[in-house]
Amino acid sequence: MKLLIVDDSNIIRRKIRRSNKVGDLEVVGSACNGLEAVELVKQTQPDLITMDLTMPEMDGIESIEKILEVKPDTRILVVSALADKATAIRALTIGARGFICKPFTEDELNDAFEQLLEDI
Amino acid sequence: MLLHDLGKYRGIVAAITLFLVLDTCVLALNYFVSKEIQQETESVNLAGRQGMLTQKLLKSLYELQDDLAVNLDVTENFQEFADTFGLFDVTLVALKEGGMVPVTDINDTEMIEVKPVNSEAAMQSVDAGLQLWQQYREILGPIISNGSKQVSLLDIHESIATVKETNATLLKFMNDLTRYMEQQANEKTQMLQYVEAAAVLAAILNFFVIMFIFVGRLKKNDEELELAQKENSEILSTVKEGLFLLDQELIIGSQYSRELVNIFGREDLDGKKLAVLLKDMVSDSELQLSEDYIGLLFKEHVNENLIQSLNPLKQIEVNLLSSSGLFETKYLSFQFNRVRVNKLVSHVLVTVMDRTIEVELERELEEAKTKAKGEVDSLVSILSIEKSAFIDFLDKASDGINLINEELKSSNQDHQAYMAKVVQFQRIIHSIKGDAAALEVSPVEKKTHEMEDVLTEIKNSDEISGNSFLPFTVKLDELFSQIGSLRLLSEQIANINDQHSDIQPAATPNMQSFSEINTLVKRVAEDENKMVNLVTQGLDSHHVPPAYIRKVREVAVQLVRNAVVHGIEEPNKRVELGKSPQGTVKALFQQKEDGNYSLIIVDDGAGLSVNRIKRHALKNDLVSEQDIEKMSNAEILNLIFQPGFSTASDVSMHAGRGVGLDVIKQSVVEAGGKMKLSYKQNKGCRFEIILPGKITTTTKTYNETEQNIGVEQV
Repeated sequence: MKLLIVDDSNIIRRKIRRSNKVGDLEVVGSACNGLEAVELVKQTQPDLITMDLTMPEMDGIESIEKILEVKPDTRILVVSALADKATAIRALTIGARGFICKPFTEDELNDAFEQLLEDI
Repeated sequence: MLLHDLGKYRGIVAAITLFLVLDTCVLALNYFVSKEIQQETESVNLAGRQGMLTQKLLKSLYELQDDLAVNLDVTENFQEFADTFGLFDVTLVALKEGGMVPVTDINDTEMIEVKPVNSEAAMQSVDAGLQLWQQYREILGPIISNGSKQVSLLDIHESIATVKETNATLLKFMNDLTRYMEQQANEKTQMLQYVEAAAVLAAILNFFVIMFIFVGRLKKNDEELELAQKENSEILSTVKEGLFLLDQELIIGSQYSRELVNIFGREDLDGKKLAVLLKDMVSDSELQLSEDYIGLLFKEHVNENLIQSLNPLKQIEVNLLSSSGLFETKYLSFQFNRVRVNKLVSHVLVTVMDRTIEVELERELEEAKTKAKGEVDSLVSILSIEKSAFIDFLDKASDGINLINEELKSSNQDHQAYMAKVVQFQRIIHSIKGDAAALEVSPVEKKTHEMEDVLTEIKNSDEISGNSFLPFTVKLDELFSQIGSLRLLSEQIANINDQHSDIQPAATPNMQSFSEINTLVKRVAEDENKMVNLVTQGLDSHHVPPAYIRKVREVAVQLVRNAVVHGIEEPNKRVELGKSPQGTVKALFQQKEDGNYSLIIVDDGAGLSVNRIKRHALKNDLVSEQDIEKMSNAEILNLIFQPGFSTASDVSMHAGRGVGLDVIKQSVVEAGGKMKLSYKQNKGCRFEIILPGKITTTTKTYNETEQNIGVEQV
């Protein structure tokens, strides 16, 4: 199972990378903006993506649209702050599968991955 | 569709199939048997014709005889005789062995198929007939094969004799045959009738079975449905949550729980849009958000468990009309869950819970916790603060409260005067808050913060009157009792310490204690509108011996504060004097070569003013006018170490309360130390405290050590 981490904060990227559940996954890359993310999706064809919504260059919504054009079966987990529920709901409407809010605990992240991998 | 896919309809399909199969069988049987009967009827007709043919044969022989007797042309009658013979012969053979027989006469090309007779009696008749017919063949056959030209009267005579003799028997055989065959046909017809009757009976039976089983089953289903509905409505009328279903259009389903009606105070929810239910409770944007959120649940790709945190209606505060006709505030929690039919999301189940009681309890619990924590915090802070600093803080706070109280008592004031009071109160309260924050006495800090809010509200009101201060007075009273209980606590702790005086107080958070000086300078400077840079050196637990930490900190705090309040000038004044607008206060601690310790507090402020000290000493009745005239400058300067001396020109929270250098002096002499003060007008002031390197535990009295204080003007 290949995982791509998309977040402009390297603290968050590191936190995700170091979580238990992610230990069972193959982290194929991490991107800090949407443009990079779309490029990496083309190159690495990940099964899972953790996705921040507010990033420079290309925002989360546009990134999700582009990524799903490239690889429609990618399972996207939105990892974002609760402040903008509307954007998060929009991200889910256009194809993301789940949402966890920042800041998150490792348990929350592990649970989310488990849910996301449930029927694979 | 396979039979096992039909579920509860399997029985009825089987019954109908059975009915059709039965019908088809009966029809097929009918068809074949009818066909057989038709054939047999034809055979019966043929057998009947055989009887007629025996008579016709005799008759044609007679006619032939008559013709021959009068020598007429016999051709025609001969032919008829031959035909009759032939037809009989063919038919009889066909009845025995089966075969084709002409329909009307021997020359007819239209043939019918004849099956051999199969009943015992008929076969006997045919065999008997054939046996007899054999004689006919022997006698008549040669005549016919010779043809009409050869026929003789004699031949015919002989033939008639034979035929006449046996004709009746042959006729009887043929009639028997006819009768037997008729009998057989009748039997078949009857059988067919029986079969048909049986089939109709079976069909009727089948119908009743269907009726009985399926009507029974339907009735049972209806009863179960009714029961389920009853249970359903019982559940809906007793559950403690508001339950209803939403379809994709977000329309409320026809069944919802009684509690939903109770919560929302309305009955007419069936078929309404969710928006109708929510529109008066949440803002338009929240409503839109909620609708979008529910929309997500209808999207299969979204994981239901991974969107819970986005639910905008997880807990909302609403004002609803209660049954008593009054609006009341409720806290509602909405939960949304998918309902799947055939693995696809068909509806969303909405659970509405009235969480008002829980929320209120949580709140009370939180308040109780805060209060308890406040008490513990107070205790902890008292334990960790220097007693004198704490008492100082309490005194200052009490003074402030008393001052405010006095101010509040005076009445008959106008808006302007009240406004001035608000500003004054704000300053005092802010100052208490600052001290509380520096000492980490959080309950007082919190209370004073609330008071500041109240004051801001008063300040912003259009018209201030005496009554405007009521809410503030309440808070002031609360602060007063807070300070009172803190004082009580500190006294109790002091008692404990006195009883266990051999136990040294823990010399712990000293870095914190010293860093507090920084905070203090910052805050005091801000309150006094001054710019001050504090430089410290050696003020940490590495340099200060543990036994002196409390003392050094106490003295440093007091002197640094004095330097900021009394020494450093306001920035404008400093600029006028040609100094930098920012004043500097230095606090240095070190061990000297002789082993003694030295704490030096230097500022670059105004220095001391003998005249001002004089004025204040007189004002505070520390010394009489006569005495002061006789005093030297050094003696006058020494007055600042007198208890109750204050030089601050106005009552602020950082100075002007008569507690200061006298306390420091006592503290220093207690430790067997010395204190030196030097100053230069407009250049600054320097305090040096010398503490003995060999730490003494003996306490010297105030009077004995008075000479340890030195003041000089540089």
